[in-house]
Amino acid sequence: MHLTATAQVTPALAERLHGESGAARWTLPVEAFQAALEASVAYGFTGRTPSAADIDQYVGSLHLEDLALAAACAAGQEAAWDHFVLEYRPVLYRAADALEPGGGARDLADALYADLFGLETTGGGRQSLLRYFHGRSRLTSWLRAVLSQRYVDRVRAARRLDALPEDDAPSAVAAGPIAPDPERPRHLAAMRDALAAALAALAPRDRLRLTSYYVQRLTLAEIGRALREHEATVSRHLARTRRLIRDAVERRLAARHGLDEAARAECIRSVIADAGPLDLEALLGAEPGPRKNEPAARSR
Amino acid sequence: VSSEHERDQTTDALLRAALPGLPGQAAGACLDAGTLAAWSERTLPQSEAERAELHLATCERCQQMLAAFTRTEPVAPAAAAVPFWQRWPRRWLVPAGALAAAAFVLVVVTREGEPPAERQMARLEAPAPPSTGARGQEAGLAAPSHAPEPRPGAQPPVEAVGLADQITAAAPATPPPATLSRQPAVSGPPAVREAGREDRARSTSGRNLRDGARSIELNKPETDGATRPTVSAGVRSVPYVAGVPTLPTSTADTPTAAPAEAPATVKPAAPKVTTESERMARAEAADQSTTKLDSVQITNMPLDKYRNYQALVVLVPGESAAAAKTAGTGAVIAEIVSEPRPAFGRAGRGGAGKVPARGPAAAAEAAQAASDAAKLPSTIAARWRILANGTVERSVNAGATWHPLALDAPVALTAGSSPSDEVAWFVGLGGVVLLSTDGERLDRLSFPNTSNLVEVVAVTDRAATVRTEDGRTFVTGDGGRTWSAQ
Repeated sequence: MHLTATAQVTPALAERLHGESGAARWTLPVEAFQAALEASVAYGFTGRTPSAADIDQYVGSLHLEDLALAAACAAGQEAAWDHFVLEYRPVLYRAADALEPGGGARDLADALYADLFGLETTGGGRQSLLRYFHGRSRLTSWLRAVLSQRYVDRVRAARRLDALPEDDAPSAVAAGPIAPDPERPRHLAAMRDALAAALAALAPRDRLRLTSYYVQRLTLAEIGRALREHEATVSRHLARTRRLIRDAVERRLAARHGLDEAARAECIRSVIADAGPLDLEALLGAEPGPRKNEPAARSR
Repeated sequence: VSSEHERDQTTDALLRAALPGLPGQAAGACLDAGTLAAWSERTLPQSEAERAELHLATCERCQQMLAAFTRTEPVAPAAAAVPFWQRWPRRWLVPAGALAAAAFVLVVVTREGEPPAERQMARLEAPAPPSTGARGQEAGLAAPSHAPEPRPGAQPPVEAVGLADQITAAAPATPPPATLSRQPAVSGPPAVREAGREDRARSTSGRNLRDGARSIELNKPETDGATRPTVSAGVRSVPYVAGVPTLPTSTADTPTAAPAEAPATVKPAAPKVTTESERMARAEAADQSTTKLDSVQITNMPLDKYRNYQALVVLVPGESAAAAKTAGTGAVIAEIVSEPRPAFGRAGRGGAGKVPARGPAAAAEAAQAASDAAKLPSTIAARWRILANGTVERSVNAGATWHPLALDAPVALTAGSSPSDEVAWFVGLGGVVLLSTDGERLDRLSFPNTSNLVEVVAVTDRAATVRTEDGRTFVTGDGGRTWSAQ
């Protein structure tokens, strides 16, 4: 989404920030940099009308050098583009290789690179993807985020298009339940209800840690990096959250589903043994991230 | 314990099996790349960051995006392997080590020439008798902080002699101490205890200080609120407290070296306690003592290190040991004393000075700061404390009674600073900054990012400096309305 700049960055402010950003190195005109600033302000204050002080504080927090480089690249300044190729293309490739070590994401990086350059033209001029960079983070972080977004969308789209196994395929046969348990559907439904309620009661950060670990299969160290927490802190919080969930699930299984202690234990055992078929939404959208390490290898 | 472990393993298996297939409903719109990157760098405004995090917690696609984004983050091996408290600039270790050594000498000299009754005593109280296991100690954690005096026949408080020894009695003519440690001398599992002893015995060098701190950290339990089994302290059991902290010095401006100071000045002093009667007499003398200590302010309280404390007692100016004993029973994790400071960044208590002293100038500056601190008035009216559940309480009668401050939502606090009787600043995890200007309620202030804040030094109700876990410093001069990075 490209927002039309509605907030005004005064020429004096633009001039000062232009100097601070080193935009002159790319021979980027002050007016072009001012336009980039105004686009960033409009993005940062979507739905609000910022005061002059708000704008001053906001632009002061921007990564001005990166914003100037992106604006210069988007404006087609060759020196800026040369610098970008030298400094940032390797970043893209490294990120792509981190997503798929076999090089499977390199094509994504190349496609993104083309979009950054702006091969598509609109109204006679090329439109660079870099115009969506607003300087609220480092340019490298933004590039990694864009690449990650495209990678995830591609993976999700591919999952949707993957054919389901034929009914007589070995995998389909193996996936079927061996010994049907008459209580199993009830247990599954009860557990889904109890788990959903327990998750809903968690604080956002606790839930994010939990899903990062159990669904996205991030390691403790990776979660720590994502949340800016120490690995040991992540581990402790996960342990605490597990206790909360266990208590909440058992309370709900007892109160709402009328399961006594033995039935609750059986219910949990049943779900652990086989969580059951995924529902349609999960089939369409829920796929665990690629596990980098086996569970036993991950530190807990 | 085994049952609890099995229970946790079962829950782990349950989540592993059931969570990936559980449908969810995302809150709000998906994050774009710019917002994700800015959220990751903690540069979003607080409200926007909270919205982003709420969405991330509920949206599978954005969680996948975050996971992919995290995997693309280049990791510097050295930086990733070393915890943040060990990445602090090593230049601090030299002046810190020098100050610690000086304090050690001062403590020894003071002890030699001073009768026992003139020394203040600090206590670590064991709320449960020695035979009580971990569960009993957990109960102690959850117990009300206003615990009554011990019943007749109950276990009397255990003297943390090693701690008491480190609190230098600052008689009026005596220069104030340079260090203060709450390290129990003989508690803790063997690995910690032995490593600590070895380090303490010869740790005046930065390397030993650092290694000592690390050895403690490595043995820290990984479950919240859990306490280690009691360990015999020779005379009486003392509950093991993990990650034994070190108070920043009362006079030295050494914020970054605080955790590494612990082993430097603590001596294993348990053998000095010989008999029950001697200990009781000594405690009685300390209770009645009116010797003023130099003030102590806790300004560096990472919850990770302190959450396992059952009782953390800090003696403060004008306070007798009896008052501290009462105040410290229960889950007090920090106690803060309202006190005016002569100049910001000079004699700051616990030292989050705006511009830390460096190199050889540090010792001279610390000495000057000590001199300034010695001139401070010692009459303290208001005291504040942070309980383990995040509650903040205030006392205006030297800890005899406490009343909680109103707060809209519980938060995880890590540090506090009180420049006057009515005013106190507190900071915590996730960019939490709280301010009380009336001693009755705490207002949450906006902060430009959601970094974990670990230190605050306040000068007035409008001027304060906070430090993030990764060492960045932010200053406000308008009561937290705006902040600027230093």
